[in-house]
Amino acid sequence: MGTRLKNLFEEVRESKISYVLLLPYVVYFLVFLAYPLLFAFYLTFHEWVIITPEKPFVGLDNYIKLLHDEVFWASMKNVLVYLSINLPAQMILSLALALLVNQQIRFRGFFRSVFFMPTVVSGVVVSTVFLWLYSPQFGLLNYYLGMIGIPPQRWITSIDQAMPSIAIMSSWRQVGYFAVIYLAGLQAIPPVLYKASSVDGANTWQQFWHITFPLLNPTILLVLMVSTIWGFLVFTEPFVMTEGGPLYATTTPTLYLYFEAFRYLRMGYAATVGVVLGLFILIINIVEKKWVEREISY
Amino acid sequence: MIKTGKQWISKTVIYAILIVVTVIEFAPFLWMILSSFKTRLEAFTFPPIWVPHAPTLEGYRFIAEQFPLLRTALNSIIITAAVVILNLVLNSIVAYPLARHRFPGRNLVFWIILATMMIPFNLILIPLFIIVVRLHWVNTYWGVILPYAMNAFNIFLFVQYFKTIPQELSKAARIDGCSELGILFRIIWPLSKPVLITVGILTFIQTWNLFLWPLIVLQDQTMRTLPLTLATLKGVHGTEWNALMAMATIISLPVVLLFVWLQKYIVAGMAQTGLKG
Repeated sequence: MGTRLKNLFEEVRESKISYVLLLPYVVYFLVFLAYPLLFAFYLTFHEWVIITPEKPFVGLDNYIKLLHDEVFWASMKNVLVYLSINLPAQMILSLALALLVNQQIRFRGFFRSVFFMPTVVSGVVVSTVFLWLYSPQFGLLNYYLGMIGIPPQRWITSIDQAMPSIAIMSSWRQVGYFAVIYLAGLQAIPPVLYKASSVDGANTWQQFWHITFPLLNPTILLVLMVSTIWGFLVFTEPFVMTEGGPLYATTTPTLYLYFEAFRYLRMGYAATVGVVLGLFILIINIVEKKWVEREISY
Repeated sequence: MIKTGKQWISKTVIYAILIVVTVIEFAPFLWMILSSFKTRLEAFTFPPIWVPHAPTLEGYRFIAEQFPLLRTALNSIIITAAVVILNLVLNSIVAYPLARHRFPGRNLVFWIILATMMIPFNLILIPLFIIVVRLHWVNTYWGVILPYAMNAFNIFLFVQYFKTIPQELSKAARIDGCSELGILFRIIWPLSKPVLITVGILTFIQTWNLFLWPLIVLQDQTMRTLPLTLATLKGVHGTEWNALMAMATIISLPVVLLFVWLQKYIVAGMAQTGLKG
């Protein structure tokens, strides 16, 4: 035992330079991740109005308030409305698109880059352009819908349509990004599997369900997790397009956190919203992972 | 191989679908660019017209008069450049021992770095802001830059790539008396062009488009970045559509050009995200 410990010391001393090179991350980790993380929990037990010097300890008051906070729960419901449109789009449309681009077609690079383009453009830009497209009086969307006989919609100005409108826009924006991720997953599947199965007489549909789908499962899980997290973090779109309205219909948890912190300066409560939101995301991630793992374990 | 009729039909259907999707994905940007050259009145025309009859720079002139456009662009450039450089240098310094040295605790450190990718930014947003206030970094470039100076995913990309470079090269350099940082920057970096470009461009796009964090930290108009100014412009001149589209075009141009030029590196980098699940 003693010699093993001595060897470890020896090894650590010999690796001094390796530890020195890790220092930038140690500093970054402590200042910008670990300390804020602990500080976040500390804040949730305090009333912390940034302009007043007193920051009284309030125990679980912030958490109890959150439990009964109608606006916070409305914002969580808004996320569900968003995800109910966004998730199916990301899971199915992106995959379909990736399968099409993965065929033996010309201009694959061109299609891939066009589909990818909306993801690299700023969210503020996309939101501003869609604000106009969605405009009930002057928008292109209502104009073209009118041409095929659909009456004008109120889009982001209506309580019922506002959140779905934002979700449709986000799906439009992200579908290509996830298609590219699916495409990478598809291209990692060994072609020999398809060849062997067609020799055995499997048709395209059977190949999809018995080869593509199971082997693509890690990618599907990734897309599911990433789009769920993004759903809970939506901020820019409602901030630019609706400021959370009409009547809280597009108030997302992050937007609510922002208003609490920077309009009403209630930092303690805003931190509580952040912590609860973070825990929600973590739990959903774990559940999704367990669920998909069970689905593929055969 | 001779194509059968059925194959020909399915190919046609595939191209038709892809072209429709291309139009849907590209049309809003085409509308944005074309409308930026319209007069204010033309932008309001209904039924809408796509191509301006007499293209004008009225919208661009309007934002240049209403906002310190050059200063705003400079703010965006300074912040983005600093974040990109810091990410390239610092992340590769940390990734270097993780990829190429053997030392006790290496796997633990790598595991912790990967685990930090799970922390949602919203969770630490408020405490991070309070830290920035205490350090008097509100309304400064550093306040925006430093929290984004490193990134776990970028470290991961560097580690994966550095592992593929043969160890013999660093051994030879070490015998010649080269320091570890010398090895990293003189031997590893020149061989790591693809990963440097991938990290650089992903960081560029992310930083150029940052919104929530600069919105909180940069409160003076003179310090604000381009996306923040577009949001302000929308609040104050919500119906000057030609000006709004001009600003939107200015913001999009650098990232779109960079994307078209270096897209294979972006796609490679993004596809790697598949590995972190």
